[in-house]
Amino acid sequence: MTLEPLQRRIGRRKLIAGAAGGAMAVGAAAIVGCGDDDNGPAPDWAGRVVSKFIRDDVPIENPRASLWGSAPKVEVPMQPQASALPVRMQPSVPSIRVCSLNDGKRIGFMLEWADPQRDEKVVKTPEFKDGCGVLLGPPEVPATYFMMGVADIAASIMHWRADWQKDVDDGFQDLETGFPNVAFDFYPPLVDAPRPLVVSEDYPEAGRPWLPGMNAGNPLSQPNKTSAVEKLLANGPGTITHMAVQDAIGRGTWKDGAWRVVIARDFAASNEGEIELKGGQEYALAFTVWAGSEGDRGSRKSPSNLGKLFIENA
Amino acid sequence: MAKVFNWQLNREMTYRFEEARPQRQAGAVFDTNKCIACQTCTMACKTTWTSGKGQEFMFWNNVETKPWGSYPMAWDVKILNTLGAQSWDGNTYTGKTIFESAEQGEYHVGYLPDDMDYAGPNRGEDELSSVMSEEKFYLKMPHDAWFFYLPRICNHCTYPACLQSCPRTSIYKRPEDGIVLLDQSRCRGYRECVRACPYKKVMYNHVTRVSEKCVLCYPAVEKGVQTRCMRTCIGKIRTFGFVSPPDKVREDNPVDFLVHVRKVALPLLPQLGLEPNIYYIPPIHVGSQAFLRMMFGPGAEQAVATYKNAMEGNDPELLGVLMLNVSTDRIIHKFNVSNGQVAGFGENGQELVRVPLKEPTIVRPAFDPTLAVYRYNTA
Repeated sequence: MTLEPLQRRIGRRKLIAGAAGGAMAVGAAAIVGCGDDDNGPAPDWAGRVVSKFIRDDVPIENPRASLWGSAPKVEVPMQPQASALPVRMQPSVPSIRVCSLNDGKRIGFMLEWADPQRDEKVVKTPEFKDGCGVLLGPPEVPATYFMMGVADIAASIMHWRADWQKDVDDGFQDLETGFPNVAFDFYPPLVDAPRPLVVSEDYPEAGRPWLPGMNAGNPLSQPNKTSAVEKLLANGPGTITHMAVQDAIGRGTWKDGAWRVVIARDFAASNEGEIELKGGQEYALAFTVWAGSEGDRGSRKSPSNLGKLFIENA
Repeated sequence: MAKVFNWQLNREMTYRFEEARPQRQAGAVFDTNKCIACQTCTMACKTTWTSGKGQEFMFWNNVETKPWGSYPMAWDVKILNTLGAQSWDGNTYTGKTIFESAEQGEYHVGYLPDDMDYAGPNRGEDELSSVMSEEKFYLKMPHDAWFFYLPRICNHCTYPACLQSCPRTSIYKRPEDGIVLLDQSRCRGYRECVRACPYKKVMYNHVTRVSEKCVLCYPAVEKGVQTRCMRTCIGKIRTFGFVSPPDKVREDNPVDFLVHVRKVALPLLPQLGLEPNIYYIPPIHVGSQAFLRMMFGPGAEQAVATYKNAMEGNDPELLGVLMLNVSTDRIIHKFNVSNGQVAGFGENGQELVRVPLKEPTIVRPAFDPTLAVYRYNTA
């Protein structure tokens, strides 16, 4: 994919949407696959994503694998976030393109969106990361469910974070990443440790008191990142909770002004309250995107409307 | 949004949550007239709480020089500019608070500092705002010579903007002592609190990627012991204790006495609307009363007069309370002035300390007959 066709496609979509007066349904004469740039625009998702069944393993580690081209791609318009304060009145990303594959045991989502600025560092105070999220829930839920579930029906969320991806790929982005000329006399043993950083088991006694967030067990403060995707459970805005078992996987790559991110999990639920998935079934589905350089974080984000996911059977 | 009463503004105002005052509110009074900017408080706090990696420029306690210094850079100028014109009608604030000035979809007005803003914590300390100009026979200063030192910690506000701003309520105010804490396990590093706090006393840890703030040494306070920054104060400028709302004032409580009885201690930038619980005795030598009113509200002039009166020996009670400053590590709940002495008492009424209002002068003879030696340190 190159920046030019992606931007051209967004421009064309806006033109078509304008001519049609907003909502439209584009007949998908030929399947446009993920990562497939030359078959014209992806059809509007019309509130539904179909996860295509494949006999091969879902290519979760490679967002640019050709297999993704076999999955039907849909265009998902993003919305303002006005449900919870603070709001984002204009979406920072107008739309994303989504497709999904499953192999009967595991489901993967591919999300693509244009983002001219790659934000994968959160070391400095005004730095925020790019990211995206996939929300899953039971099929019958209220319309407000797209904002991280509702009080009595939990939402299972997978959140891919560009900063964690960078940590996984290149090692923990320590202080020196943001302040290369920093001088110090003494620090706990994160300094000069070989990269990628692996914090030893005896670290708690040695250095934890100097790193309060890590000492308190905050998952954001752990330098050892094994996945760029965080599994979360939520019952409405302000309630997201890091799940005990973190087994979601994925990978995001930025190229030519666009992110392409794969987020995947097993059908089976590994945490209490997490939704279990089955082939041939329908589920509630929503997406969210954060653009770090636009100041996006937390509720300052661009969500989609609530839609449906249908998982094709073998 | 709820309607809550802010006694410092003498009116109701809007806030995200209902009014919920703690059982008692930890607070302090800082006497700016005695601060020498030695930064001992700053370093006591720094070495206790923020000496880790990622906290290099994080000073929960700082001392800045007013009007030229600020940490982070221009925090007061920026928020006051954002807030716009502020006006008082007597003791009632008729302008808008940072909550009432919020745009639609926001809880308040605020801004996120840049990292460079934290890089000069004592910028402006004893410095001119620009270079001196050369006149024919002398050098001319670019501005008036007056200045004063302003030590600052988290104000553990009654209506904290940081607490209100957190989308996931990671910040809470303890009902038992009013200390505002940021849950290190719950924070997700959105920095809404860093943006929200107009005093800029919530800061981002660059390594743990979550925000942190002054904890008012709560493990000490729980044991009846004063905070590190208070106990180490060289200039003895700090009165630490518990401050009551106006309808529950206890006149023998040192902090209540200074804040409510003598009204000599005033909140910092009360017009922002947070009802901060660290109070300041304004400096008596400042060349601009308007500046003092901006910093400490409409009671500034009267506070200066009351303080001057006490320093002239006309108010032994006020002098007595100030003499108790940093005279003990324990928290003083009650005081009593009699027979030229002031006594401080603990929560259960036990006497913690007794201090003379005026230190006696003792002249030691040059010759010590016990050891048959002369001493030469008697000048």
